[in-house]
Amino acid sequence: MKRIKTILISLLVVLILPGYVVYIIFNFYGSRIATRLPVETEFSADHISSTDHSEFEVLQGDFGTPNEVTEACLSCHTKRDEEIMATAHWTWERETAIPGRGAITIGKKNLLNNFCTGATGNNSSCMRCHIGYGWKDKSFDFEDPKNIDCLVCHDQTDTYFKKKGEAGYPATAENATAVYPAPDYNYVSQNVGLPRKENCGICHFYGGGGNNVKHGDLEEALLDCSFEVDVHMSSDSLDMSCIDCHKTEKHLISGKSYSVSSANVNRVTCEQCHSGSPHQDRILDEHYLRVACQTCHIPAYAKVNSTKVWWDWSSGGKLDDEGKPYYEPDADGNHNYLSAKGNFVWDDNIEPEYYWFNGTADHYLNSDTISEIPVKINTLFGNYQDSTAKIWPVKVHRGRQMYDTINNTIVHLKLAGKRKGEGAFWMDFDWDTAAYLGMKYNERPYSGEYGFVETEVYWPINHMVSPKSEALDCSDCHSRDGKLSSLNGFYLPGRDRSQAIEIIGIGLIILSLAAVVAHGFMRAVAASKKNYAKG
Amino acid sequence: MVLTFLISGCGSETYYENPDEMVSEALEVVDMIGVEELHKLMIGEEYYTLIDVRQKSEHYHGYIPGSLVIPRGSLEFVIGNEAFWEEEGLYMPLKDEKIVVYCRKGSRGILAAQTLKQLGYKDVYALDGGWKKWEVTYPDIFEKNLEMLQGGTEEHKEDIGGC
Repeated sequence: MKRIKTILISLLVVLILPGYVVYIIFNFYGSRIATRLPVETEFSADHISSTDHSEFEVLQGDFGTPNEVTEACLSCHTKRDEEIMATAHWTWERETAIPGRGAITIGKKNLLNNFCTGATGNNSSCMRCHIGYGWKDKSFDFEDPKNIDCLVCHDQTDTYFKKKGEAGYPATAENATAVYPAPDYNYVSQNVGLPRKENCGICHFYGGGGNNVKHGDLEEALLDCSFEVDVHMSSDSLDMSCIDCHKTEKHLISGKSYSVSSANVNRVTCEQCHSGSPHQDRILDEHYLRVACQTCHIPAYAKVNSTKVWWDWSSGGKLDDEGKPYYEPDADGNHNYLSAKGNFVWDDNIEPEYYWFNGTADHYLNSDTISEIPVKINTLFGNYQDSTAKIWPVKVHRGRQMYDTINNTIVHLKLAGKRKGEGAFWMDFDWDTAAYLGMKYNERPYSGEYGFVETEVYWPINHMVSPKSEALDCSDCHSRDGKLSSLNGFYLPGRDRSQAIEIIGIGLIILSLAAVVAHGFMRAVAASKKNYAKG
Repeated sequence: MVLTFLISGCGSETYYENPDEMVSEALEVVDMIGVEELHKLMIGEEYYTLIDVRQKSEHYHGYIPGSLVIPRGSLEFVIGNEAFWEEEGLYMPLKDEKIVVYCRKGSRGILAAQTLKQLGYKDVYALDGGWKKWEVTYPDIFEKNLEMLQGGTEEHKEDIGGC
C-alpha cells in the first residue's frame, strides 16, 4: 500500500506538476494575445475625376493673370472661397488657448522660428508658400477671393510653380526664366484634381529654404520611395497620397505642425485607420496608452536626404576677397556655410530624441522676453504624471540666432529683398539694419544692441514609418543605456532599479534557498531517525 | 567522421549577408568611445592619435581638430610605416598607445578599429556615431581645408538666399 502511495505521488510530481507549469505558461502568453482590429481606410490616391475640365468654356479664354483663373474656378465652385478663407492655409494664424497665456491668435503670421527667423517682413520670399497671390506687404487683401491660388494645390500637370521672390505669384511673360517659365493657364486650369504629394510637397518638403530643411521626415524622396523609407507612401506598396491620411472637409485639411500650432485638435492619428489595438499582443497594445505609435515605428528619420539639425546665424555675413557672398559645402554636398545664412550641420538617418507630449504646445511669442537659454522657440507640453501624454519621437533643430541684448528679445530679421541698399540682409549683409527693419515691420522695439543666443525648436516626427521588421525592440528602450535613458521622472522596467525592490527580491531568494536547505536537512534528519529506529 | 567535421569546420570561412552583420561582429572585439569622452581627451593631457578613416574628399570638408586622414583602404599599410609618419611630421603611434578612429557615422571606423586590433594595436577605440555625431554635439569645434580638395568644390548653381 505504501509503495502504491509512493508511485502515485511520484506520478503527480512527474506528470501533473509539469503539466500545471505548462498550463501557467500558456495561460500567460495566451493572455497576451489580443484581437487585432482590421485596418479601416479608404484611399483617395486613385481618385478619378468625373469632370473633364477641358470642356468648360470658362477655362478656354485668355487669362492675363492667375487671379482671373481663380475667378473662373469660383464661377462654378461657388462658396469654396469662403471655405478656404477660414483655414490656416489662408490666414496663417489660428485662435487657440495656451495654458498660462489664455486665448491668443498665433501662426506663421506672427511666430518666430530658428530657421529664417520669421515670415512676416520677408513676404516676397516666404509668402511664396501662402496659398494666395501677392501677399507682398501689409496691404494684402485677405477678403478678396481673387487672391486665392487654386492651382498650387490642384494642378495635375506639374508645370505650375510660384516664382521665387514674387510673394506667391507665378512668373509672368516679362520675368519668366528657364527655371520659372510663365504657366500655360489654359492647360493647367483644364487639368486639375485632388492634391497629390507633389502639390503638398512643393511647400511642405521645401520649407526653410531647401529640401527636408525643416521637418526631417517630409521631403521629396517621398514622391517615389521604397517600402523601407515609408510603408505608406512607398511607390512599391500603398503609394498613399498626403490626403489619404490628412482627411479634408470643406478645404479644412486635418493635421498640424507643432512649430506653429498649439491645441490638441484636428490632428491626424495612426488609430484613425489602425485602431488603438493593432498588435495581436496585449502587452504591446498596452504601450499605446503611454507610447506614441511613431516612437517604435519610426526608429529613424531623414532616411534618404539630410535634414538641418544646427543653424548658426552668428557666422553669417562674411564676404570673399571681392566682397561677394560665398558658400562652402560639406562632404555630402549640402551647404556647410553660406554668407547669407551662416553655418549649418546636416544629418541623415537620425535617431529621434524622445519627449513626453500631450498634443499641446507653447511658443515663444514675439512679445516675449528671453527667460532661459537655450531659448525654446516652442515647448511640447506633457510629462509622465500627465495621463494624456505619450512618449514621442522628436526632431530638435538647434541653432544660434540674433537677439536684442538690451530688450532681451529674439530678433525678427529682414532678410529678403530685391535690391541692394534697402537693408535686406541677403542683399547688404548688415546685421544692424536687417534687425532694425525686421523688428520695425513686426512692430517690435529694437535697441540697436545685439548678440546671438542658442535656441531650439521641437518637431514631433510622424512620417517615414518603417516596416514592422525595423520597429524598435523591447531592449531598445528597456535597457540601461537605451533610447529612453534621458527621459526621467518615471520607473521604466529594464532601465531603472529600485533599491528596495532589489533588496526584497534578493531577500526572497535567500529565504527560499534557506528554506530548501532547512527542508532537506530536516528530511535527512527524519530519515536517519527512521533508520535508527528500524535498526 | 566527427573529426572530419571538426577539421572542415575549422577551415570554413564566414560569409555575411550584409555589411551591418560585419560591423555587428566587429563590435564584439572593438571598444567604442563617445564624443564627450573624446572631447575630454582633446582638452586633457593624455597622448592619443586621432585618425579619420574617411576618404580625403570627405575629410577636408570638415574634420575633428587634431585628426589625421588615413583612408580605411590604406590604413593597414601606413599605420606602421615610419616613412609615412615622418613625411606627415607626426609621431608614429606605438602598439600600446591610444588610437581613436572615426568615419562619417561610425561603421567604417568600427571595421578600421578591428583591423588595427588584428595588427596588434592594443588601445584602439572607434568613435561612436563618427564625424556626424561630433559635428552635431560640438558644431563649433571643427576644422576644414577646402583648398586641399583637388578640383575645388562643385559650383553652386542655386540662388542661395530665400525659401
